[in-house]
Amino acid sequence: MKKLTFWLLAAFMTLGFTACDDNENGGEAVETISGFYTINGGNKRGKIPASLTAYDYTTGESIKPLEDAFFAANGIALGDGAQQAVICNGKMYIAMYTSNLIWVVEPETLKIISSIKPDGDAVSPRAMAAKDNKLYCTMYTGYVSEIDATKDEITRNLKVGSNPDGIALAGNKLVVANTDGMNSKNGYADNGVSIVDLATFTQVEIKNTKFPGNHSTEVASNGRDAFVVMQSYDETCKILPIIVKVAGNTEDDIVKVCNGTNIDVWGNNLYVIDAPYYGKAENITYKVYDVNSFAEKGQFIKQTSGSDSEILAPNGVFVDPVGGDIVMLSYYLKADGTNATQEPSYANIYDNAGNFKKRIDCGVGARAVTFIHEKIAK
Amino acid sequence: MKSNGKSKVLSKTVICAFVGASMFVPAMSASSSEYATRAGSADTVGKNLQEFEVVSKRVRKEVTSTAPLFNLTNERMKTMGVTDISDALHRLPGVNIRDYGGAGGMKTVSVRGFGTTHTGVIYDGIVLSDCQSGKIDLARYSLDNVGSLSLIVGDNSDIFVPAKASASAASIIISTMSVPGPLDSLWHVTGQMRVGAFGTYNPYFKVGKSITPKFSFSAIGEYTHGKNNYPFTLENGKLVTRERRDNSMMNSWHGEVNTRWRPTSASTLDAKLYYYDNNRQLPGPVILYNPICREKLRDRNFFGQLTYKNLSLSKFSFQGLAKFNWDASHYHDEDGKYPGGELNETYYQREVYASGSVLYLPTDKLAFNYSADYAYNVMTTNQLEVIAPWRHSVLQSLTGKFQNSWLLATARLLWSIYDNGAKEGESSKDANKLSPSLSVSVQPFRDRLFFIRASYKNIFRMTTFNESYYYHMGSTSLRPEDTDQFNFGLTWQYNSANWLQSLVLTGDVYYNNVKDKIVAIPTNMFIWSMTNLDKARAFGADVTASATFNLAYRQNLVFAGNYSWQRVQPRTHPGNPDYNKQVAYTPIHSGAASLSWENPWVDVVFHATGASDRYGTNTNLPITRIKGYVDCGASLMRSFKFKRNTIDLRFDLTNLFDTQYEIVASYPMPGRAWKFTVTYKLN
Repeated sequence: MKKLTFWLLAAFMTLGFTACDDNENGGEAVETISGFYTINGGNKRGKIPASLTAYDYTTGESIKPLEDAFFAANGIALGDGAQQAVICNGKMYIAMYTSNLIWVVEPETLKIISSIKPDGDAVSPRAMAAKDNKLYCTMYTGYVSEIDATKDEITRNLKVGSNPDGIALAGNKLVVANTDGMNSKNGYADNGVSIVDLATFTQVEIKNTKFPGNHSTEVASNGRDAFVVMQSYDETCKILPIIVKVAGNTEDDIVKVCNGTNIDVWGNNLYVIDAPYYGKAENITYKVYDVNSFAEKGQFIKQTSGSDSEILAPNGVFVDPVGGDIVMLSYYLKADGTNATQEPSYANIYDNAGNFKKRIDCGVGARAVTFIHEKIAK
Repeated sequence: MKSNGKSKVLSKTVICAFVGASMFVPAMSASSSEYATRAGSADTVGKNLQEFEVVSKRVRKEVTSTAPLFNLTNERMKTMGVTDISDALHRLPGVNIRDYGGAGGMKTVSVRGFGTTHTGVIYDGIVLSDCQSGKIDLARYSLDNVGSLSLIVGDNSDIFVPAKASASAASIIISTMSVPGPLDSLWHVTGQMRVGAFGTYNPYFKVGKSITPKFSFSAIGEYTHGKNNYPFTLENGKLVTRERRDNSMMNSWHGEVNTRWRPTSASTLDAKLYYYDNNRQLPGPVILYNPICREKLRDRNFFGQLTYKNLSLSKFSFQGLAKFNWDASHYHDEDGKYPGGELNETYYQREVYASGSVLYLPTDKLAFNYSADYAYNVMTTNQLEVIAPWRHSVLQSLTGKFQNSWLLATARLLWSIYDNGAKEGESSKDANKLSPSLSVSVQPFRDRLFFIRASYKNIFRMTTFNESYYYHMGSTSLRPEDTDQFNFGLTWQYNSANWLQSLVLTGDVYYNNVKDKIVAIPTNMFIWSMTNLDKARAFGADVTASATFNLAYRQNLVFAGNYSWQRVQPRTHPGNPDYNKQVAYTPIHSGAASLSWENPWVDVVFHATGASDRYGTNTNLPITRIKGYVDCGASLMRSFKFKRNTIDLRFDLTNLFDTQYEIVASYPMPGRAWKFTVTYKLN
């Protein structure tokens, strides 16, 4: 690691800080979106490393899926276990779970600015949320770490529930999904959510007793309303994954919205993919709900079977915070109908009315999308 | 719990099998005197054995075998400069080794594209069993105690074997050094010390004696310590750094007592007690930017086995085996992400095994064998979705063999019955199948040691307990693998008294077909993921050559080499991205060669092993490509003899050119390293 530190120190620092943007804060940003990155987790079993795929709206082109944009920009590998990337203080932060690292890069060029190495008890970064030049990162060992985005240093750690993963802003609070993901043998018994008060940097943990058989995994918000995906690994298929809204500090404030497996929130729209683990492709739904009334507003993408517009095995929905374009991530399917998890995946772009625009190939295991405000790296 | 009905059916089968076997034995006993009175009959067994021994000294078994057989004796391994068990396996054609690097790294083998679980390992006559993963870690068997190491692909002409020994597509046979002979009343003592790079030291001792002409014993003890913190080069694009394997220390010891009792001149009762304990750290895969690893693994194994052979009953011979095996494995990891900050996985396996075999020689050209085996395996662990899964196995084989001056043919039918159950939880499927095999060798020219051989074998393997029951990974509906293998080969041996003293060439082509194939992809050293690939095929060619050139008085050049070409392809569905690609971790080209200069001063050996590119995934994604390699080594050896005392000095340099390579992705192999061994023998 000495060599890495040396290399990172030698990396040039980039100025040009701008106000912190919350990419999940739909409608507030004013810049023109000019592209996005897909964050590709790779495949641990196949020892396929993580990568980034860059897509430029202007040219309508992406770099080849296996030519990692991060490697192309820096000449070194991204690492293993990429989870998510967020923009804060004009920089992009990439959480690397297996490599236990947070990269800090220029959003437009992906050039490395610095890196943050978690150590001590709070390690293994998963997901992030940003506010006021501060970044909040869940650490799978049971913490939320606060990162000062002006110094790129971890300033303090807060103990939350077991194996926290998803995190999102809800006003002046953070909602954290405590997955208890390493406790599968006991049915993820300690799962739930933590509500972190940003003013005091304290937390209230709410254990999930309301939805037995489900456990919290991901969180999405519009900055105000936070929704949690509660997955299910019930092999009998009787308990299905659900989406809940977290509206307060008690379990009574957690209410079920609908069934679902992947979500994003934009303005007053909650986008829900419902693709249960054992679900068949034709039964997968893509619905929009109102974030307050939970009223169903219809399907959010239009697909034609057998064409590029078709989503074969959805792995996430991400809504462009400016124009409302919808980016869907999906695996390809093998001929025998199973997900091709060790092959490049793809992203489909739809306009806000759900009309198909384009398909691009991504690296292996595309799992998140980060929209950027400037011209994208090529 | 399984229904009683099934257990009853099985019990009946077990009883039938053993009643059948035991009826043979009294029948043999009752008629032995009758047979003894027939002129010549009494000598048949002895005569055959005698002939066989005489012939075997001149003609190598590799040449006459009806199915591919490759044998490395202790002496040959020395001549070839073999440094450890992994190196020895590399010298066998068609063998593909998963080696996690260093003395402490796990080493498993697969043969001709079959998965590791299709390769049986036979240790001193009894098949080793691992119902947990089906994989035998060969790293635990030290070469110091190995008399010979053989590879048999399919069934060959040795028919007097337990049924279980023919229940694998291929077998690695490890024979340890025997006890002193009946007429040898001297003490035999071996003391050895080996030191090597990366903090390795390895003392070994063996003592043996025949107390009486009827009773001999030997005792063995060895200990291995290695830091295994070898350096390696980490290439990360333009960032090239020199790193060290960390968390890699091992402490291992092994003790063994062997006895042989000879109640009559033609019968023996061998007993063995064995204990092995290996406490090691696991370095884990190399992960960019995160070198921290705290994994540990402790393996313990105890077994006791009895082998009774009686060759005195004229046309009948009998062999009985019994074994009790206990195996414990404890994996430990520390990380704040685990509940309580640590992960502990424990596996305890117990096996009771018994086997009876009868050999019947009605004429000097015909031989028949019937073998019946029974095994009971049970495992307790905190990692499975069921509690205490168990398995009854009943295997019976009936084999016929015909041999005349130009033809050797064998045919076998194996009947396998597996009954699965668990104390609590749903068990995997039972199985019941007949598996035929056929092999033939023809010597077309009476005055030439040139043979043409062909063989066919059908065999299947049961799913392992991990495959069936592992949390979120196992499946009770997983199908066992069914395989067909075909082999055609030519062998030739040339002996002379001129400069080319001997030349042995073998060449085989094969075609293997696997249905319901399960491919193991390593996640780390201990955890694998299983994929049921449904269909796969393998075809390839193995070529071996060995030659001894006489340079001058007491100076020989000895060459040994092998080359394998293999294509192992998933064939489940033409539209799948892995269709007709090469199965993960299987090189298309692999081989080994050694050249030894034997002389009165210092024997010198150069050797090399290598493999072409491989992929970490069945889809052969370019980013998972693992570069091919050639690993060269050299050995210097010298013996000093004084009366009954011998001192052997040996110096080995491995990976002479410091080649950086991996066999399993992200597990770098050691670079250049040295070993020095001094051995004292009192014979």
